[in-house]
Amino acid sequence: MPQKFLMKGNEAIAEAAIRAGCRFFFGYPITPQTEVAAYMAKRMPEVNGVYLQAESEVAAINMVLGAASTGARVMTSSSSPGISLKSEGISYIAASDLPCVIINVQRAGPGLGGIQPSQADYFQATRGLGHGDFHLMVFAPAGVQEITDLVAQAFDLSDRYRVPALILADGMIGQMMEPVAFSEQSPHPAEKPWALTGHRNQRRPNIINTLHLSPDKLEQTVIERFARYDSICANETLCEQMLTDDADVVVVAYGAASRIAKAAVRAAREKGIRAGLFRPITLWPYPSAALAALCETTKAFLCVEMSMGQMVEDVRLAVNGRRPVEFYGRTGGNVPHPNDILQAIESAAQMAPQNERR
Amino acid sequence: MEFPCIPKRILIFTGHYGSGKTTISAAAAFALAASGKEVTIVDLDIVNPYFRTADFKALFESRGIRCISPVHANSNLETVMLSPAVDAALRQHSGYVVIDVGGDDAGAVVLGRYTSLIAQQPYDMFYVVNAYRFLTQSPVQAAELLSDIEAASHLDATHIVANPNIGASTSPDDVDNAYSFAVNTSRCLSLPLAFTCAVKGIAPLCKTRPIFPVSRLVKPVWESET
Repeated sequence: MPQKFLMKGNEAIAEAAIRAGCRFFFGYPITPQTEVAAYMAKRMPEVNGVYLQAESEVAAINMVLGAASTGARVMTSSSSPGISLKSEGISYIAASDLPCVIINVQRAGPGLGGIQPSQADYFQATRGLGHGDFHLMVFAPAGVQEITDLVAQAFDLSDRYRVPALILADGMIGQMMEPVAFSEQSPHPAEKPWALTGHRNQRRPNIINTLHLSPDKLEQTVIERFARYDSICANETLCEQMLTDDADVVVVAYGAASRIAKAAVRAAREKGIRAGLFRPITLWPYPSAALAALCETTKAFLCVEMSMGQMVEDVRLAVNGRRPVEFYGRTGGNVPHPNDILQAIESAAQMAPQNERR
Repeated sequence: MEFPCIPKRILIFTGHYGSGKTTISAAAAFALAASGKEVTIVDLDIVNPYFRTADFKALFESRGIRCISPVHANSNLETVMLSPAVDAALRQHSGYVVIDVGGDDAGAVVLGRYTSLIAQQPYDMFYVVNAYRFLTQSPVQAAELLSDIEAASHLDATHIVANPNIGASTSPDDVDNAYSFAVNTSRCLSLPLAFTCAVKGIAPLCKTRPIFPVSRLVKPVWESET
């Protein structure tokens, strides 16, 4: 059995990236993700990697674009307001078909907001982290061990599909400490014949560019990229289910909120309420099919988020009116208490259609 | 639970991020207060945004312990500000002062602000080590970090405190297996090992001595009672 260590979520993000072969990190400090950068500053020199504190988030993301263009494994990290600043560069990276990993350890917004944990960047992460028609692969870890697995996977899949990957964590996940065992699995870097490594007069020059003079050429490029998105949707969707087989009320939550929801589901079971938990691990692609399948057995859904209700829209799209979808959330940096979720489960159980036979 | 050392007036707990400084500082304050002493606990952590002594202010006050925390701690404001009450507590020369310092040398910098006040009084500076923390798994790594902390704070550690844990799942064997790490770190630093900490539930099952039973205060909300 591999040895277990106690690690902070933010440290695990950084260490997992290094183990995945990331040797370039460009960042700018912001609470509550600062330990990612601090850890990289300490560890990168030990592995002959580069840690560079840029002059701004905008600079950092464009350094990511440059390093990724050479085929290197590269990462940047920030928290909500800093991610907004990076959005122009992220759109350029997506349009350049460059692999990279971006970390958002979410804090409360909008604006400067606050430093306490939040999940209010769901829309930004899954709908439009920048201008134009594009997607990121979005992974939502719910614990420190899972961070290490998802960061490794994010690097591999980003390489394979040439689509940037986002780890959508939150301050709670970044700051908490849990035991971690690193897997001995080595990274799976893809061949990168497109990389800008110098043609030495031996091949045609590679060009990485996001400007297309002809609308038809641009449309064709976007359509080709969306074909890759289809393949990601078909193959890379992840979710976890707990006690959903016989659940009358299925709580849907991701990240830190899912940990709290898990405690509430257990408490509901102790009270005789058949509750279960559905936890999306990829937020894009969203595990819609698995969630929709639960309409066959469950009576009501309850979406719990640390926001005013963002993922609930994806839950409603998947459920498509077949069952009621309730929502419970806290925002502004507040974290729901298991008792609050338990109450919401109880009220969803009462409101669920009672007349249907199972 | 009795504090396992003869306490000096000022007790400083320093160490790596997440080594357990807050838990042990709180346990020390509780132990001293339970024996009828006047105790002030100072949250000197201005680098860590969450999971800190200030979270337990009401609990301290219910046991007659004064808690001084940074201005705006646990709010949405992040300011590097210290309360004038810290100076006052160090100058008043009565009662015990337990200081929970921020992690690593980054967190210890702020301690340097009070070095001249502390150095002229009886104090102990405990360096908390956890054998299961990722970057301080070897005694040499632990020694390097302490020299950074000492350079940042301008104070020298007087003791080592072992706090071997891997979170909620820590077993008595985990505690006992880490004893040699603590002893080797103690040798490496030429500092005495004061005691080993373990949560109350497993402390009686550990062979390691002396053992200081502590309550696991710092935990996420999903481990709270429903």
